Amino acid sequence: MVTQVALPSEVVLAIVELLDIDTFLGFRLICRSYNNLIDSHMSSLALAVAHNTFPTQKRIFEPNQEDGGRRTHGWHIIAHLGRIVGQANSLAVDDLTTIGRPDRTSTPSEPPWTPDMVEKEGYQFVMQALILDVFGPHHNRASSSADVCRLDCVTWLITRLIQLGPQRFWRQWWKCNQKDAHKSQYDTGDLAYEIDAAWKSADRPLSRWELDGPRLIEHQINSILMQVKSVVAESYSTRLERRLGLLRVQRGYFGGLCLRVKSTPHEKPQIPFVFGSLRISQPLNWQLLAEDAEHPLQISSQERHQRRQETFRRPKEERMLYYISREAMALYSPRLP
Amino acid sequence: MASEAEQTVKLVSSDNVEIVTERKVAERSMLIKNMIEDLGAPGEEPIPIMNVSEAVLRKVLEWCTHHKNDPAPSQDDDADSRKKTTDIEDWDQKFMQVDQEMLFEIILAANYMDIKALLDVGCKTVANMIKGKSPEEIRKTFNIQNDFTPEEEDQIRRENEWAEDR
Repeated sequence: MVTQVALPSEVVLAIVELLDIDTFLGFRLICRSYNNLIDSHMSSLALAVAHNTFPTQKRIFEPNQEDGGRRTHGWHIIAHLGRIVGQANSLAVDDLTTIGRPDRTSTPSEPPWTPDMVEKEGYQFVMQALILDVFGPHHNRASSSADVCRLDCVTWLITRLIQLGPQRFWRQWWKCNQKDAHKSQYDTGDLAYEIDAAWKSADRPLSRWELDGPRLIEHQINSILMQVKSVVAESYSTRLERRLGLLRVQRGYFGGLCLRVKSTPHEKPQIPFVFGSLRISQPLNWQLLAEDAEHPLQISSQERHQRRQETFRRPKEERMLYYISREAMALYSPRLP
Repeated sequence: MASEAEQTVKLVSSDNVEIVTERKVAERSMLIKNMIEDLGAPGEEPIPIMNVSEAVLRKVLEWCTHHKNDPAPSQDDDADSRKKTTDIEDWDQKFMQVDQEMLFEIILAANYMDIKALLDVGCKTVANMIKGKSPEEIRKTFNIQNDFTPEEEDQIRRENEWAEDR
């Protein structure tokens, strides 16, 4: 039965506040006045609707005091990158050199982010949650913000995701918030898997604006790797500590270069920039890098054992890369913007 | 001890029907509670409920009678939208099994009479009714004309697109 009774706007808002996202989006299409009403209350409504849609994902919506606003800062970076991509897409190719060139060789079929999309304050929570789930170690979602600092190291990934467009963000976020999310990681279509593959196949020079954060780390890691490889291959007298998991390359002498990496945050590694132009040859295993003694992944002992076995099966140099990379990330993460 | 007259209040509906009810029941409405305090002599002066017809007022009082001993909601409950769900108690669900006209009238009455808990139940009922419905179906439910131009509608659909396909 159709009613002739019109509800006042405060009642309509109270109803909309109780909707899930699908109905909420449909509600915007009802009429102009309801759409305007929703738009003018978008910030509060989006939060309520997100809660209704994902009632168990409390961590996503709780204000995070521990990270000192880093997530918010991260959002602004994404918004900024979104603007750059939007700007780049609207410019002639010749004009792109000054702002960095997005990867047009792998232009996705889905629309990229547009500035007005990333500016929508109401979706801030969605974005934050997704970034954590995509970039952070998937199995550690129960913890609060221990991994946030590592997110600073993935500018390349952020850029990649921006280029892929918002639908992929949304799908991945949805997937990560399902009950069986752990099982579905790296399934076909998993964005993290796709990004990992993209990283492996990336052969274009990265633009400066893509690299500001991770460049230094990659640079250092690559330098260390090359030196370690050389040391391992050419000198049996190298004193490399064998205890995997707590590995420190204490001192390796090769060609008069001093390699010294320690995990104390105040001490910078003294690594000459002799391999500055090299790009890292191996993709970083972000999950593995994220696991360390201070912030162990929330996984079963069996799964942990399995991962370790997988790690041990890798070539020695690659294992060293992982552990040294971790050291380098631990050192550099706090200094990144 | 309060007299019997002081334990009851007289309400007058918009169609001029006088209804006598227990004061505690009537005071579920903040509007009535404030009026009683202002008038100072409950039971004697009829309280006009201008915007609510007899049928709706009786229905609202039925709800108030059932919930007369409920604890007052805390401010936290009011403010924290995260605690909101669309779950409805069994009794309230049955109570809300009325035609849509009456449902909307109850909501309007609850809004006018300032009965927060009843308004919540009404909103939840409507929210549950429209969940999963298409915009066209929701328009029918609310008896609303689509006044978008095709371009405007297309624009909103484009804005919605990023979240719709997962």
